[in-house]
Amino acid sequence: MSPELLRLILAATLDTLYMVAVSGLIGTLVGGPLGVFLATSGRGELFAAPTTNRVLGVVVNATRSTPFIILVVAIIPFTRLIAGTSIGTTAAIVPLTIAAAPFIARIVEAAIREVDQGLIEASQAMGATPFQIVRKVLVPEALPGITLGLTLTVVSLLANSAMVGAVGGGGLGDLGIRYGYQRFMPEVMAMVVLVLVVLVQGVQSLGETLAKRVNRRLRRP
Amino acid sequence: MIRVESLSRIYPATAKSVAVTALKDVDIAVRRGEIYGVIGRSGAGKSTLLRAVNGLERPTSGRVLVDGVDIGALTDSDLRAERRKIGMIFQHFNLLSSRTAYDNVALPLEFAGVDRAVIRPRVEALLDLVGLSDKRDRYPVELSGGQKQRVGIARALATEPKVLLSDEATSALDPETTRSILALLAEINRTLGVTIMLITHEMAVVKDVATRVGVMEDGLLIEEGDVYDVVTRPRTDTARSFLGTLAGREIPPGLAARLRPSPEGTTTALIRLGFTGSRSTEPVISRLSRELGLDVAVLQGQVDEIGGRPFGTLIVSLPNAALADGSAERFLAHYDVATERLGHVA
Ligand SMILES: Nc1ncnc2c1ncn2[C@@H]1O[C@H](COP(=O)(O)OP(=O)(O)OP(=O)(O)O)[C@@H](O)[C@H]1O
Ligand SMILES: [Mg+2]
Repeated sequence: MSPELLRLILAATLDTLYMVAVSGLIGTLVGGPLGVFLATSGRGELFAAPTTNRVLGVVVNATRSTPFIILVVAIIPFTRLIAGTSIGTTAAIVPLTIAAAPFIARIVEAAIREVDQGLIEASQAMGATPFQIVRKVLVPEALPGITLGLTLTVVSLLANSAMVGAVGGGGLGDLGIRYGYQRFMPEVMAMVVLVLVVLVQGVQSLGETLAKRVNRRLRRP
Repeated sequence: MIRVESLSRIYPATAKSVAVTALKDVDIAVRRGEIYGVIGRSGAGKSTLLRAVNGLERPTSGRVLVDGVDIGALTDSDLRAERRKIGMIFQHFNLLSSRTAYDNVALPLEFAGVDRAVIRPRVEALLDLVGLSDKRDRYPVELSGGQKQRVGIARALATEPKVLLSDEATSALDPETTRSILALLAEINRTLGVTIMLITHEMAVVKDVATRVGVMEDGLLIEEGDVYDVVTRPRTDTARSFLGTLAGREIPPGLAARLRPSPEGTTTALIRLGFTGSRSTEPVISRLSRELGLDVAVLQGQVDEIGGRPFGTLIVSLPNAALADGSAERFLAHYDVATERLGHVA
């Protein structure tokens, strides 16, 4: 493989990492609090707001059940509004983020719901405010689950970021389509797949290691 | 210290369940510095009562005063401040798995916005008090049940409360650990003067630490008194049934199997005698036998004490006739001996 191709692959990898990192970050900033809210706003819960909870739940489900490629096309006007263009790496971040945020929200919600109700009650008995309970009890206790969930999110972002390549999004998917498929260069396609596999593996093991480190429910050897 | 005034709590009916009256017009006055036990079967309303004391539960009617403060009338932020004066420990400890023993004890102080420099010596003193200084940096998963409850107790005391609420704090522990936790609670009560209200379904727990006890059933407080009086002279069947589990009160199993409720076809009656105070040293049984001319056999006996006051329990057999005409019971009542008919054997 020519050094030029290698340079292309390296650039595409960096593009992919850029898209995943930014959309993962913004997705977490939006989806994290949303997940906390979903987990604590049911009837009789800390921030009880059952109606808002139900409405947000429907919105989240709607976003999650829309196939990603349809989402990308459907929100093109919105993407153009935010990014100024609907083509390229930066533009791709918009749909990636919009798909990631509800995913993360559900993951955070599930992890927080796993936390023993007794801890909320104990905290209330200690005179904690609802915000203190979230910050000092729920999130730290749910952290192992959240870490694993975020790992899953990054993996699915990698997959989605390859998909935006099909509609001119840049990154590894874009490279695979343009060189591997349209110019019929199977070695490029193979390289793209290989890099993606390595990335997914790396993210997965990193996530699992982190989750294990923050999990105090396991006995240390 | 804690005044519960005609407290009722009705859980309204939902789509899936009918309305439940968990508390009916309950009145309790817990005195400053005492250990008050509440005993009752599952579903009697004990937890609901205890949770009303720190406002986790809003009463349907009636009110709760803690040190003169009406808990139900407080705003959210005043209630939070008040809760710092009321510690609580739980059956399943409710420790944060993500925090070490030290950090768990520090948690209520962090909630209260106490300075780190102040937190440190206080948490260390508390860990010392509960005997866990060496487990300071251990996570809950690395502690035994008894050690976890000690952390729970230290945490409940962190904000220097006047009142400690205990909801079945020893129910998940083995008998020996239970005794050591109860001893710790008694010590805290004695040395720190903390008023303790504790809930249990074991009379042994009440007998070990409490000064007074309330018996609950179906949301009602059906009996109340000094532990000594309730243990030696229970007035309700519920109270009596809880005594059944105390050592020395069981009918020997061989006899229990042959026991019948009616005297028909039998010759002998079994009764349980309760001796209290100075009478416990008088030779009542030999007088009963001599003066009424009865054959009395002692089947089981136990002498115990509550708060330094001795009491004895005897299970004896008598001829049916002595019970039928009430003569034996009259005689025993004259000597202040409590009697309870257990049944008849052939
Ligand atoms: N949140 C609730 N909603 C509806 N009913 C409830 C609720 N909490 C308790 N109850 C009902 O109120 C009654 C009293 O419950 P409570 O928990 O006070 O009993 P308890 O004496 O503490 O029992 P246990 O020994 O099992 O802990 C029970 O019938 C219970 O089913
Ligand atoms: Mg209970």
